Parts: sequence; structure tokens; C-alpha cells
Amino acid sequence: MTTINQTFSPGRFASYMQKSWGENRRRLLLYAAIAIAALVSIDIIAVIFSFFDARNIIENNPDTLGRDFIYYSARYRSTINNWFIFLSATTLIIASSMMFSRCASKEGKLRDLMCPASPLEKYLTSFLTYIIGGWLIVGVMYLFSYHILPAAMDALTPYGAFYRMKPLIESTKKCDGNTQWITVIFIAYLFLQSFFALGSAVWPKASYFKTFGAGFLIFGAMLLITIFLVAHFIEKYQLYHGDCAQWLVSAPLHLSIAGVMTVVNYALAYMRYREMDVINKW
Amino acid sequence: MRCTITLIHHNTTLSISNLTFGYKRRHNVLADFSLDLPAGGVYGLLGPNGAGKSTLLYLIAGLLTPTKGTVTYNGVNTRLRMPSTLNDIFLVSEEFSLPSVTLKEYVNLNAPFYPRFSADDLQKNLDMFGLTGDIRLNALSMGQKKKVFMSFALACNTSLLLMDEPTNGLDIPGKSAFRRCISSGMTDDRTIVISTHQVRDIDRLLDHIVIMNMQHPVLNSSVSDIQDKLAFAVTNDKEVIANALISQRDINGCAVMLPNLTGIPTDINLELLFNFALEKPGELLKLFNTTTENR
Repeated sequence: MTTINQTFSPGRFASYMQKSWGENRRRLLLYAAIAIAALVSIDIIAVIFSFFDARNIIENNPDTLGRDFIYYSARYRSTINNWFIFLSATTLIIASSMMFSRCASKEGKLRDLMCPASPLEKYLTSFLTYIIGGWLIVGVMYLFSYHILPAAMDALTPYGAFYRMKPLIESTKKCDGNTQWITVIFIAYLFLQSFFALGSAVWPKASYFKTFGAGFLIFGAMLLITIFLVAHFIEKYQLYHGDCAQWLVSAPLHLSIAGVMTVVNYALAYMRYREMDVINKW
Repeated sequence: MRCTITLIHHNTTLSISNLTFGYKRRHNVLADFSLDLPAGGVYGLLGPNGAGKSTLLYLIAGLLTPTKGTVTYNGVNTRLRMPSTLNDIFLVSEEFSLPSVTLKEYVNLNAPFYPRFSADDLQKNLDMFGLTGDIRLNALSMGQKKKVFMSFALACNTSLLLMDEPTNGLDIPGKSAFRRCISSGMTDDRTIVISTHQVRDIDRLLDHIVIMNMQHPVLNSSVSDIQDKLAFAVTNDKEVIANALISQRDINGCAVMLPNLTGIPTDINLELLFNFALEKPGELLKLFNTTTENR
């Protein structure tokens, strides 16, 4: 058999994916359903409260309709935005921390390591299932929060305009504050996913908590260093003004660094998985 | 102390060379352990608790990284975990898990990885174990799961089958069915290594016996060689008992192990042999003319 075939074979990869999804489909669907149900529940609660808000404002204060309507509409959209960001981040992180959860027990490791597929095929299957799968769930969440729910409320209530959501990215201008914010969040999501995926390879058991603890220590230290640098250099020499020109210069560098670190994390996760033994000596 | 027992055979399938492994830095479970297992035959891997039997099986399967030494199967290092090696090795471990699917789904999802899998053999094995129908695996008891898992393992027809305490958890009919499955599943190019301390469950199956103790093998011999050199009997003759290499009170008298002076083979009493190997390993090694090197 050729060396390439030992590392990756499309047929064997397809068989392994089929095995992985076939044996775990109930568990995977349950987790996806829980994540989506959590978001749907919170969205519906937000809708119910804002419905009564809107009705109260409009029926009791017709003279101030325009001003307060806009204020409460924005508050509703802000609530949905914030919950969407929080729940989607949580979903992505928990999904990636489950990437090697099948190796949490000795029995699970035996089953996984003895399966006649290459480590790369097994790794790619986990990547597709938990990393890409996490984004698919977030996509469903986004569709519900920003399109389905507003459209439903528009059709069901006379206060439909109240629920009209603007898309998450509201501006096409590269320097727009909202675009900056969305870009940073997106890159942060990608990096956090890769960090928790690496944690899952290092600590398959209770991965989320151990990786969170390690991340808390690492990023806590980095935050302290950053604060020190900001306090002593940036503010002193007014290096950062937060304007568009500065964003266009600094963003590519920061985003590239985050991108490289994301790729490095995934590579390290693969290398750790490849060296995994059925019983860890440490 | 380093102990090496090497019997050179043609068609060596599994070669273990100077293997050293320990879970903790200063305590090795295996030290300079070497063993060659030629193709074909049922090998019994015996030893007391903590001797390293399960560890050795994991090392053979490539599931652990040795500190030193290598394990090669058909010339390939098993630690590389190449798919072409893994699809010819099956490990029935003492601890195992089965997914929450039906047996039919389990076979459909896992059989494609084993090129020599036979559905007929699977059905035959399941029949021997008394299991029928398309059963839901998570609804089975532990013993039933083991029967299903072993049936599948045997049906994969891998040339190397490793079994760790296979009869643990099996009922009496199950143990009998296990022996029948092994006997019927044996071929000339198939090697089965059974690790156990339940010697009475497998004594009739074995072609070759390896006894481990204190990090190294103290006996590695074929059953026919053992029968050539040792005789086993149950007697009440005090003179015979006094001259025996080892004796043990039995329900029917006193079981004894003696040098075989008549040349007539007798059924091996594995318990006696095992106890003698642990109590007097040096004498056993002398009897079988194996080479030892002391450091």
C-alpha cells in the first residue's frame, strides 16, 4: 500500500465519517437541538417582553410614538444581538471542546485508536463534525434571530416594524465601527474555537473546564501585559486614536497574527491526537 | 535483571524486541522484553495480576508508546498505527464499549474497515453464543455485549487477534461457546493471543504458552514441548508426591507435576505449571534449556 494511502484515502475517510456520524447521530442531534432551543427560548422571551413594551408605548403615548418607538426598537435589537453573540460563542466553544470527547474514557480511546483509519482521517472527521458543525448551528441561530423571528412577528402583530432587525453587519464601509466590531468578534471566535480544540486533544476528559482554566491563566497574563503596555506606551505617546486610518494599518497585522495562531492551534491538536496513547503516562 | 527468550522460527509474524515500558518513570512494567510469535496458533499469555499482560497486549496493538524497543507485525512497527496494520489486528479488550445502535447498524458501519470480514462467520458465532435477531446493543447485559463483540472480532478474520480476559463476565454456556468459536475460527495463518488468569477456561485451546512474571517471560513454549518435558498426574502415592516438582491438593487426590521420563504426553495442568513458574522460574528455565543473561 502506498504511503499516501496510509495517510489519507477518500474511501476510508468516507467510511469513517459514516461510522462516526452513524454511531453518534443521536447525541450530536441532541446537542444541536439543545443549543438552538436555548437561543429560540431566549429570543421568544425577548419578543414577549418587547411586545408588551411596544403595545404599552403605542397605545398609551401616541404623541411620542416616533421617538420612544425607535428607542425601544433599538433596545429589543440590542438584546437579541447580545444574546446571539453570547450563545453563538458558547456553542462554538463547547462544540470545539467536544472534538475529542470520544477519547475521554479508556473504552472510548480503545475504540477510536483501534479503528483502521488514519489519524488524519479521524481528525478531519472530528473537525467537520464539531468545528464546521458548530458554525452550521450558529448559522441556524442567525437565521432564526435575524430573519425568521422578525418575519413571524411582522406577520403576527401590528407592531411588526418594532421587530425588523437589521443584518448583523450594517455597513459596507471597511472602517465602519460596526464592521470593525464584527470582524474582531469573528476572528476571536475562530481563535477561541482552535484553542478549545487544542484543549480537547490535550485533555479529552472535562476538556471545557480544563481549557477554560488554562485560557484564563494564559489570557489573564496577556491582558495584564497589554494593560501595562497601553498604560506606559500607547496612551503616553497617543499611539492609538481609534480612527479609520489606524484600523486599516493595524487590523491586517493583528488579524494575521490571530489567523496564524488559529492554524497553529489546529496543527498542534492534530499532532497531540496522533501521539495519543490508550493510557496517558501523565 | 534482563531476560531474553528468543525462539527463532520461520514465518515470524509478531516480533517483540527489547521492549521496555513503564507507566511511571522509575517503575518498569516490562524491561527488555523480547518475544517472537510465528504465524498460526493460539498463544496463552498467563501471569499474576500486575505482571504486564494487558500492557503487553496494548503494546502489541500499538496503543502504547514503549520507552525502548519495538513491536513489529509483518515487519511494520505497530506503534505507527497504519490502517493496513490495524485492519489485520483486532483487540478484544477487557474494558470495551459498544455504541447505541443496533447490531446490524454496527456491522454496516464497522465491517468495511476489515477486508476479510465474513457475515456468515458472524452469524455462526452469534448462533454459538445463543444470540439471535437484530439486537439493540445498549439494551444488552455486559456478558451479552461481550459475546457480540467477540463474535464480531472473530468474524473480521484478522490474522492477529488479541484477547484480554475474554471469559470474564461470560456465563458457563458462554465459556463453552467461546471455546467452540475459537476452535472453529482457527486457521494456519491466524494467530490468537489470549491473556488471562482464568487458566481453566482456555487450557484445551492453547498451542503455545507464555508465562510472564516480574517484567519478563519465565516460560515460552509450545504445548507439545511442555508435554515432552513434563508429566502431570493426580495421585495419592506419597513417594511420587515427594519427588514431584510441585504438588497441590485436589478434590480427587494430589495433583503433581514431574519431569516426563516415560515420553508419554499427559494433559497439562496449567494451574500447577503456572504456580511452578512463579515459585521456581529458574528451574523451569533450566528444564526448557532457554537462554538467560543476568546483569
